[in-house]
Amino acid sequence: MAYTYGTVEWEQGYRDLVERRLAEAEKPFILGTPEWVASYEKLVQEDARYKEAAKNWEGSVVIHILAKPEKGLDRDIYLFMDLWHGDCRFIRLVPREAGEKGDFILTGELERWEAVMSGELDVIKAMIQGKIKLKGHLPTIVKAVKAATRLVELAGEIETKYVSQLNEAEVESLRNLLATTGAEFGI
Amino acid sequence: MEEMITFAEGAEEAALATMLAEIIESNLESGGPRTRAFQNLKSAVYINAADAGVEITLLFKRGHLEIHAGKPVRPDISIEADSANLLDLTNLKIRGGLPFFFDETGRGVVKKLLRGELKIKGLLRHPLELVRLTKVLSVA
Repeated sequence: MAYTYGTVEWEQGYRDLVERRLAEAEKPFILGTPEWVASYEKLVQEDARYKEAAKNWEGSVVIHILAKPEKGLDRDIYLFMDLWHGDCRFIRLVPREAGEKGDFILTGELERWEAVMSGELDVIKAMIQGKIKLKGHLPTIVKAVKAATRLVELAGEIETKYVSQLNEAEVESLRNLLATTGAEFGI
Repeated sequence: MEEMITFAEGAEEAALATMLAEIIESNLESGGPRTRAFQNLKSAVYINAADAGVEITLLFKRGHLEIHAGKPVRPDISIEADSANLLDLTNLKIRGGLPFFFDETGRGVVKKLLRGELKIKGLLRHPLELVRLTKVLSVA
């Protein structure tokens, strides 16, 4: 069944999907999957350092990972973070149309994001080098650079299986998952 | 109307150049002391984000800024730092018309200067220009 984003049914369906995946998926979770995103959400919501650094922050941030079909990532992923004054209301995967409406959109190739999240590449450095591109009011994000950096650090704290490390069977499994979530949730 | 910020050939390809241009443009839109500082600033400022391997030069010409890739002229002020430390400069608050070094960000900048993590050449020869530059770049 295909749900429409923004409806109660979509919300409930997405929650059910996350619960099911959290119970069934093998750890470490694959970067960008619903179960990985749910783990990330929990971490951000419980992090005191993020809360302090982001106490003046207002607006949504979207991590936009560009598609990498040869690794099973058949389309772009939009990870939407609804953030408000240190609170993380939610982090979830959203359809492209919703992702493009984020206040701040950080876009990069899969390899760049993997490098950033694994701590190999500093996110500020990546932006200065043009490896991660920002759409949104730059001075606002520069002002909140500590909060932004903490968000990225937290992503690195999750035990993660990176998409670039997947074997053929796992690539196929990711492709199937994306096909299902794409058809049902548009994500 | 003449554009206040322009890019020399190839400069726009450096993300740092477009980022700083966006910050300055936004500050100029807000008017006030930042705009006055921009109107008075006449210096060549070389910025080197050493860890990112990115270097640009900001040529301020009293009300106009030309951004160049690399170091096309001998700079009046040189700033060298890692990417994150570089952004700290843009977070310095301005109090009473001067950069404020007595909050967490300000103290952090001073510490980095003392440790050599942030290198500023021209600090003693062009102090007024540096104050103006800080105002023009400050998002705080």
